[in-house]
Amino acid sequence: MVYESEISRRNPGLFIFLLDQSRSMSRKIAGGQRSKAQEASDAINRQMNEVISRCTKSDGIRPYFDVGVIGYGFKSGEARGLISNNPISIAELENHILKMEKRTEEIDGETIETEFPIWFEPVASYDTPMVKALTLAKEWVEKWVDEHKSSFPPVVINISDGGATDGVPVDIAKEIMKLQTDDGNVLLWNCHLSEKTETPISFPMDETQIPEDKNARTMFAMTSVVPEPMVAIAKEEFSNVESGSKAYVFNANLEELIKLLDIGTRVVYDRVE
Amino acid sequence: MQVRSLNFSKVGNEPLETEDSLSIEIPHSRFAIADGASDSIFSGQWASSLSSVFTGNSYDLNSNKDLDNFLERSRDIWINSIEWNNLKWNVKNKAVKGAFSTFLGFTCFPEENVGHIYAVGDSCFFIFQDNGMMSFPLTKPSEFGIHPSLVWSGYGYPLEKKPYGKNVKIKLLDVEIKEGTRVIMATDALSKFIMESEEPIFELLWNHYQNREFFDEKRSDKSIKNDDLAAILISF
Repeated sequence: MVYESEISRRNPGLFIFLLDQSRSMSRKIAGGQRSKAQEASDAINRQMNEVISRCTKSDGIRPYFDVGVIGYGFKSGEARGLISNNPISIAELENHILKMEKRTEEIDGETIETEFPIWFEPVASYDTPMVKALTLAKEWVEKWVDEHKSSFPPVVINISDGGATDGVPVDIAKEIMKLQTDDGNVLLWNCHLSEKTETPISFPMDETQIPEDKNARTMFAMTSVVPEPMVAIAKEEFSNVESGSKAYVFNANLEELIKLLDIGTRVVYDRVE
Repeated sequence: MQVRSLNFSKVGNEPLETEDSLSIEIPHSRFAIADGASDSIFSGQWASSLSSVFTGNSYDLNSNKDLDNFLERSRDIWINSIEWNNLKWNVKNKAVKGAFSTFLGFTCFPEENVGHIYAVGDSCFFIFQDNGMMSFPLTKPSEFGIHPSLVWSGYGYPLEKKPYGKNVKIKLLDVEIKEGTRVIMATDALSKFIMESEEPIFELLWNHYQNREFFDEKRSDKSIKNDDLAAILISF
């Protein structure tokens, strides 16, 4: 249980993103100009683009990772895979691109045009069936760890702005966190998005650090502790991370969301051989 | 002077996927080794440009003019080795940022008993003389980190014509070369292994330079990190 497996083509890693698509996600995110749904979708699309970039060599995309995205709340009480019906290899991800957008990037004072892939669009429609989403994530993870016993454990990142409307998600979350490869337990990270400008609470160590809020307590209970080998990397973005901190941000604004996604994937990139 | 070399890709990778490069020019006693950074793209080509340009020309990298010429010539070769117009979106998006590599060059003048070493990053030079071993630029295993100094290629398309700050800090060392001197130039994983080894390391590598299985076993049992391995062994 050391979180030290190197990631290679023979031993890929797995990222699963869970994305709340409930109605309240249509409100503006704190620190941003657009809705929580737009910013969260954009952040995940960008993160997948980043994972592809890391795996891109001159001869193509090396399949170092499998990736899956689960959306929940697009229809009342429903959760489903947004790109595919199960996790797919990063090398196959380009076959599932919805559209390419032209974007600009500033490099050393020059503006250049880059092509930016979009895998899914923002949706903000119904309720928050988080239990259903976690149940689907558990199915995906269970199957994957069976087939990848020696791999680095999967990282599941859940992004939501509220409480589950289909039950208490803690039990199913704990079942996910109990799943394991030979290298460690599955990591479940949580990001609670906010439209308020309150100071975010990131990587708390115990409940006393989060407010008396039912949803905050629930999310805290369903979050993994940051494994020791990852603490130093997480500290680069969140200076308060310590041994024993949980990978949870409450009241996250846009900046915190991007940082959390970046760290969540980077702690694993660093294991690529 | 007798020379042997090895260049093995990571366990699990194809031989052509190595991003380590070495170049040997025996008539002029020039040797170079470079380790393309796996974070960047086309870094194997960049490492190859640096090493071949160094051994193909007479440079004193202590001189700013020679250093500029060396980098510009290497960059030209790198730029021309890539078909920029036919790149896929993901390759193009990454390639604009350029490539990075360590560099270790060695020019020796046996008739003058002197050798010049030029180093950027964690590829190391080992010299064995008078029953002792000295290494440069790193001297102990704990110095191998994940962010070594690197030589940058400058930007790729569409910024390939943009001037860029080369800002290369080359470390220099002159050594005495005499009959019986033995030298190893090696990229990082092998260099660390050399520093940690308690066996007569020059002989070990000299005898196994063609034996990929030997190095695969060392990488499987983690005595050597699973990385590309390249080395040049010289016996004077």
